Amino acid sequence: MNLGKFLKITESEMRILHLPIGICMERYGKQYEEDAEMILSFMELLANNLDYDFKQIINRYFEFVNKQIKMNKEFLENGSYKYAKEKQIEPIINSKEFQIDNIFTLGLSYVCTPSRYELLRYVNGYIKQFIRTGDRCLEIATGIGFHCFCVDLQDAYINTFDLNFYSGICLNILGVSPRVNFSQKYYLFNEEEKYDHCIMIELLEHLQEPLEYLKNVNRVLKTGGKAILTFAIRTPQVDHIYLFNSVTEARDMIANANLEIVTQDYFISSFMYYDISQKESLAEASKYSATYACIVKKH
Amino acid sequence: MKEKLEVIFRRVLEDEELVIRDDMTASDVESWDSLAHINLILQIENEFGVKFNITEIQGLRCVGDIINLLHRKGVS
Repeated sequence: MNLGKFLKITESEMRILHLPIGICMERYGKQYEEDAEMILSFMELLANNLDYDFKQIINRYFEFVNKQIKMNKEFLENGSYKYAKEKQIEPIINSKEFQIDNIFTLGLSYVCTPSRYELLRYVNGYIKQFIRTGDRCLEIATGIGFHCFCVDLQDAYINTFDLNFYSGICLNILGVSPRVNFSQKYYLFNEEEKYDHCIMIELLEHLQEPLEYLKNVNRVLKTGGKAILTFAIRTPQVDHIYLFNSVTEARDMIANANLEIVTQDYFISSFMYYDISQKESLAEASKYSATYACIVKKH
Repeated sequence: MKEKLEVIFRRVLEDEELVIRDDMTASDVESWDSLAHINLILQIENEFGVKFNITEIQGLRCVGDIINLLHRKGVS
């Protein structure tokens, strides 16, 4: 499915999706259109595989966007996320309905949300630049499997973990090789200095104790190993429990885990125009949700 | 037209004292965030019976841009 067809399907009551798509088109032009076509085609395959009509998937995503708008409003009023404990979100994230919606949302938001598209480019850029043939990688939070697909293209190995059953289906559709090993369970960090790379994208805000995870990342990385991490700053979502209030907080947590920042970037969740050269300061501005992304190494 | 626009801005941004200026941007108003921006566009479209396309929306940096666009769309 190409972008033109998607815009046509969402023309009437879902027009608000055209605004963020327009931002992506302006910033990234042809590359974005090609990527969007690839992602939308994948989502069509996924829909068929799960016996959904593609329009149903878009409707479900649109419902999610509307719920998210309400949640953002509540967050601005209350200054806190709805939940703070893993036990509170367990029944939500383990439900089939949530897992299906989560997969659809992850996929379509790459096309419909500038910050998510930019993050995808950033992570894939890391994979192409740093991951070599034969490298051993650990990923926690498989999502729809695009990062695994890229790691596989580099002829590297990846153990990837997600609680979402449908992540496994996504990997089957992507046709990844046996170098990609998916497990639908928690990763227990029961290994020492095993991995050249650790990929943890949009994970830490789902955890009650993200610092413990980061300390464990340090333990499982080999000497010289790197990790790519993201932190959701002031970003309410039904399954976000740890509120990162600032980029500074994220950096402090990285230092406390004895990891060293190599490079960093900022992705602003906004449907408005903003000067991209200002993104570092906007990531600390209270009215913006942002993703702080960084590449770190063992000290 | 500017009066109607100001009513919309006051309603969406929840500030009854707000006075809009041509050079006003989101960075001038704390409550003018991403969600408010979508609401503003939708309510302006409804109020004035117009529809903005993607390119037009992208060009909206300040209140003056909105006013100019409405003029181009035939709103007086």
